[in-house]
Amino acid sequence: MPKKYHIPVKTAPPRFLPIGRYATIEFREDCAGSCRECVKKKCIYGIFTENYEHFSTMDEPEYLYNCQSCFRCVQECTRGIFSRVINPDYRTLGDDHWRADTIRRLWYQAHTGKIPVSGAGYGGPFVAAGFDSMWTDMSEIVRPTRDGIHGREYISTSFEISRRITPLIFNQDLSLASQVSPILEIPIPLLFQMPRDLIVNDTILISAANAARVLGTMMIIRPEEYTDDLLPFADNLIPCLPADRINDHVEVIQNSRAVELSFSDNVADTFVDLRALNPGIAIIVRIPLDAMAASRGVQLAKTDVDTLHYYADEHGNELNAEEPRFIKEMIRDVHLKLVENLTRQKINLIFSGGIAMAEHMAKSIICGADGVVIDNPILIAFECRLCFRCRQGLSCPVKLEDGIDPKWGSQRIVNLMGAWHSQLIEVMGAMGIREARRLRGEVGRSMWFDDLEMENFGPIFGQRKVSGLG
Amino acid sequence: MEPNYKPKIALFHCINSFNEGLFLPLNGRVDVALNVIRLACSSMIKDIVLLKAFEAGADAVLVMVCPEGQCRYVEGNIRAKKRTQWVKSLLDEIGLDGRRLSISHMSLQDTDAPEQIIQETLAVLNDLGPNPAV
Amino acid sequence: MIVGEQKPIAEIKAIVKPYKKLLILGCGTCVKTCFAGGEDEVAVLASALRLSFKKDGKAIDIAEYTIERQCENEFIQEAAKVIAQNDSVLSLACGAGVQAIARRFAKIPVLPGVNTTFLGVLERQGFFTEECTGCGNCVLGIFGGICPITRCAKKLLNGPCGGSQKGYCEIKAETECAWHLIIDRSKSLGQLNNLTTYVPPKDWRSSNSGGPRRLVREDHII
Repeated sequence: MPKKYHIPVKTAPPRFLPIGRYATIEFREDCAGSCRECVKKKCIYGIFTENYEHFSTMDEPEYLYNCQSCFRCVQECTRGIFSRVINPDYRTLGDDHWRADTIRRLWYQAHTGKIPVSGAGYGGPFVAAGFDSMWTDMSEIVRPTRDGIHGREYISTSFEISRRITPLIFNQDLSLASQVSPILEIPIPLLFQMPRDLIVNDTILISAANAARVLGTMMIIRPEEYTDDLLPFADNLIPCLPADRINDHVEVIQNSRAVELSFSDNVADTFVDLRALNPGIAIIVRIPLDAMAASRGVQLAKTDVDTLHYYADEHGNELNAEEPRFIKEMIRDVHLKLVENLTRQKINLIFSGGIAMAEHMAKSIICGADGVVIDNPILIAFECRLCFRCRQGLSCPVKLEDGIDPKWGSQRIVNLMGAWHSQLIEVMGAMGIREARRLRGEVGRSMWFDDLEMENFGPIFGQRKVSGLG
Repeated sequence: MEPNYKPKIALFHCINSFNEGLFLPLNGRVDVALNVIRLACSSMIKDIVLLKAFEAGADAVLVMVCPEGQCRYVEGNIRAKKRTQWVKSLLDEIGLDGRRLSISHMSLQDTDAPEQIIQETLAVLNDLGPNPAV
Repeated sequence: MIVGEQKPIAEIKAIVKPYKKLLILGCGTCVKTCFAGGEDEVAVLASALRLSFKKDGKAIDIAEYTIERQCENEFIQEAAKVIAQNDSVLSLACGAGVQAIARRFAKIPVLPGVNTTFLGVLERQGFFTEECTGCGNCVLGIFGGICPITRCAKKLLNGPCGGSQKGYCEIKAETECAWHLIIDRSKSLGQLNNLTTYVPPKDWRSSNSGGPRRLVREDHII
């Protein structure tokens, strides 16, 4: 049995006060904070003590919103002075896709490396747009022993970037006749890339590259991001090269395990040259996730490409479309087209754009991806608030432009990915699936709101209820 | 007063007393540095937080709360008023001048009021000068 | 409980002026309840002092800490470390607390930030009344549970004076007449007879007038 994949998580506290969700307010005066049943003293999270300490040490006036919303103080205060409130700043955090809740939980995971728990139950709606209209079916009865998934049971989360040779050809003496190129396997089904138009600097790149090395994954890197400081991490970098100028980058190609090329109609022509420079190199082609995505995939799958990297926009929407489809539908589309053309098993599909949570990774794989590429969560691990002030040339509220400590930054990403990995094996454990590769395209383990609605309400309400979410 | 003096004002306001959209133009001002602290209810105003604003260098502190009798938590704005008055007397006592701190009841309909209050505060600051404890 | 009131800031400033590193030490029991020396008051006073000294151009380092009770060693112990880091302590406890701290730290001046006012009762939020003088010889049993020594301005023990008006004291119009209350309560208890017994002039030797008092419980000492 291979050595168990382990992610070394270690608490890495935030540098700035995170924008918390809840606080309690004391809306009545009737308290001196020292009665017999004082809930301020009983708070198991010590919120009130922390508040006092914070008031003494803060630079600018600000309030702590780090209540865990257990309602104990609201319920037990004999004078009934408390009410729970939501942080007004929290309400403005993020957008429709990168929701405040998502960002807050990513911060928590980067801090602790633990699976986020929602406390007093899940309070939100059970269906929403995007990935939230798809549910994973975890009712598998033959699930493995629960204590085992983090212990003796081994659930593999690996995926490959290198292409598969099918079928294998054997000689008369049963020795292998096919030329098998090296297998490039990544132990966790995700790769990194830096987000577009957010703050990226040397310390951020080094942190991410180092985290990729610790995790055993790889980071796609654009030419403008590359600096010599990244040289020690070359094994874990996937340089993004212009297809027409590969001869300018011979050294980079020879020292890399994989490269990424942007899609063009004749991109495949360069594969031979690339392989001549480095026979074992894995070739990834970066394709916009638009109306042409599936047909381009089918066309490329017939060539010598290893992996197709489809990129959607920041919110996971189809590119260049008036009514864009969401990434999960797009993954299905590309995946099924390749299946129809009998080429799916030869190559790998990875998707980027809008992957914000561990469940998005699992759901993308269920839809048919081999792995995903994450971008914004890397910066969120460094406390980025997605306020996009940097895009307007304004200062960063968490001072990312000043750089970060790479050791801390790297640990934050490792923690985040540790939490994502735990969630992935938790989901797979509950489904009875032992291999991330087996999860690929396994839509039988998912339920789709649109289908269920049509199936259940369609016969009663007809077209009125078949419109899906709206 | 120094020619390059740009007053720093900390503004505490209850989110129920203020329409964020109408308030936005104030954020881009060049004549004053505004630090806006949004509160879920004005009952969150505590003496210490007001004083901390002055410690952080504010020349004036404004508190904007809901009209009397219209607090979502019934007593929140009354508490805020009492505490603000207490801190005003403290400021007088330590020689910082209580006029640097003011509380106003805002109604959502009165869209001109914030600007007017800031102008009044600037006039007061013109008289008082910068925070002497910076 | 012990009721106290924070000293005016000007006075506190004058007391702490000679020092460079000051710890404001709060007490989380009696004086917290009467808003004179809990965490909140410590923070507010620290902030006000910092502002005030900064305005005067004087550099002073002010630390803040609050313990549950300043009159007991086991609580004082919690503050030992932070006290040692400063060159003076401004205690916001009652006089007993101030002295208990002073006794423990021989080389650090301990200064009072609160005027200990009286032994009283929390009538309602923010309102406290004096109920006991600590005379050392309690006579509440005779007077239906209302103390004429503390609550009667003239400390009369054998009936009201002639100045009581509609149940209120002639000296302070907002003070209820203790004798009016004693009679009303004795009536409702059916103990009006108690008041027919002559009460001799009070022996004040048991009070603070005889110098500091001590309490020794031999049965609890080994």
